[in-house]
Amino acid sequence: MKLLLIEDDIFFRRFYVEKLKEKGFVVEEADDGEQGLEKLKTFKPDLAVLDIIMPKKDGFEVLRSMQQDPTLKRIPVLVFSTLGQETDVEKAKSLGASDYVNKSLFDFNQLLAKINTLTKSNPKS
Amino acid sequence: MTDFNLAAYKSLYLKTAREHIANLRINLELLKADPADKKVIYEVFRLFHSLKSQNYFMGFEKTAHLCKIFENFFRAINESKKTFNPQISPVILKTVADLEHSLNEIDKNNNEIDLTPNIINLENGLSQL
Repeated sequence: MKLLLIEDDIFFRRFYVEKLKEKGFVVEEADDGEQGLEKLKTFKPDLAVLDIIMPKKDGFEVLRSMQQDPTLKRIPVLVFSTLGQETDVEKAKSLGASDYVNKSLFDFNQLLAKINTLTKSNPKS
Repeated sequence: MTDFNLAAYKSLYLKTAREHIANLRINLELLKADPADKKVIYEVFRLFHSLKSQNYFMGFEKTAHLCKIFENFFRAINESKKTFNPQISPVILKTVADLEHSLNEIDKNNNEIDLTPNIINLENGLSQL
């Protein structure tokens, strides 16, 4: 299963990419929203894990662009949020995101469960 | 919750957190020159947000809370709910120095410094702006 992690902070990127690869996922990474949109088109992931507060294009802009592209629109998006981003998560959901995880809690089992649920329920996978 | 060995990530956390602090200082200088620069305001907001997230992740809650105060402050400015007054710059720079001090303690002793008085003072002070 192919995952794209779009996250500007190298600390979180390295940690989660390593842990997801250990679980057998094929993981590609992008360090800002602009690069994320490019890799969504070329890598064609089964699911994108998307940070919101990023340089160049933030997560909201990525979601808006995805909604305008019939192919990208089908990719489920899991928002990568932290404490205090409840409003951001609601806004992201209104723009097409499927669910969210709190990256600062590193509840890895919950992350895996959400990835499995979203990819199983998505006809693209 | 899965139990990870976070010690293995401590050096990466410290390295990236110190880079964020260095970038904060650069951007706070830019903000003094142009307090209405939207790109710089967003960058300061993003850096405090990243520092907050990393510190919560590593379990340094007081350091994270201090970052969260300025994340919220700059979020409001970014959303045009407040304007940036350069007179607050020394307070922010003092906070950045406190954050750096806490990182140094974490580096040496694996313990953050007690930032509770700073948190209380800032929460009271910033709410009146």
